[in-house]
Amino acid sequence: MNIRLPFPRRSVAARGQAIYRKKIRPLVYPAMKGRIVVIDVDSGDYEIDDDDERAFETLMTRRPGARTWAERVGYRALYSTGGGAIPDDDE
Amino acid sequence: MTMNNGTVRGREAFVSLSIDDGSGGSQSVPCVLDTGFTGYLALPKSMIGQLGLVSEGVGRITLADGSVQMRDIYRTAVVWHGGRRTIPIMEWETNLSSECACSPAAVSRWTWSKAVPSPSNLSSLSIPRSRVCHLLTSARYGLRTRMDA
Repeated sequence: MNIRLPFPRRSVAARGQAIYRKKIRPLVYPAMKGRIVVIDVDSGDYEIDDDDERAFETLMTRRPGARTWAERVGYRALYSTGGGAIPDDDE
Repeated sequence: MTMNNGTVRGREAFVSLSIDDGSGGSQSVPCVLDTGFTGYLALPKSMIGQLGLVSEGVGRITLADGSVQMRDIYRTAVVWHGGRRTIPIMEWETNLSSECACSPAAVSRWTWSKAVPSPSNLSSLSIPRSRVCHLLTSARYGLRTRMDA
């Protein structure tokens, strides 16, 4: 049985954001704006898809047990509620 | 085709989802459909704990006031139109009273809420196969519509 301990949210976020900004964003923005990127923060492997369900599924199949960070290309957040997604074009 | 059936109470559309827990079982969870959320499903911390799910990642969410928060992401299978789909679930940190209010800030397309009391005036509806974001809009404007997959 695959037992995993809870991991610290902030360290996963920091690693994921660093990988995204340095290695992935230059390749995907702005051409893939709006697509979902799911990153394995330990290996740096990642998956890009229009759909979050598929992006997670594909990466987690390839990297079982991965600790992930997820981004929506060109937006401040993966998801939004109520007020709508806010673009992050000014980075 | 097996379809998920929902109910409409007042101006809100509910559907019960069978959600896999972390120990091989499943729980039927009443959820309210909300077009405001761009993910699949958001569950409050208490429900995540009850289901015994383990975090698989982290992501950010932009709330209705424009603030951005970081939340854990979980994955588990739900039964949808007779098939099982493993979907990402975002943790929703809130108190129970605001969940039950299902305000415009309610977080999800499928947000867990407390058990739904027996509604006095139900309409039946059919949930479309994939994304359900049109559904609540339809419900808000007087639901009599069957939305095909």
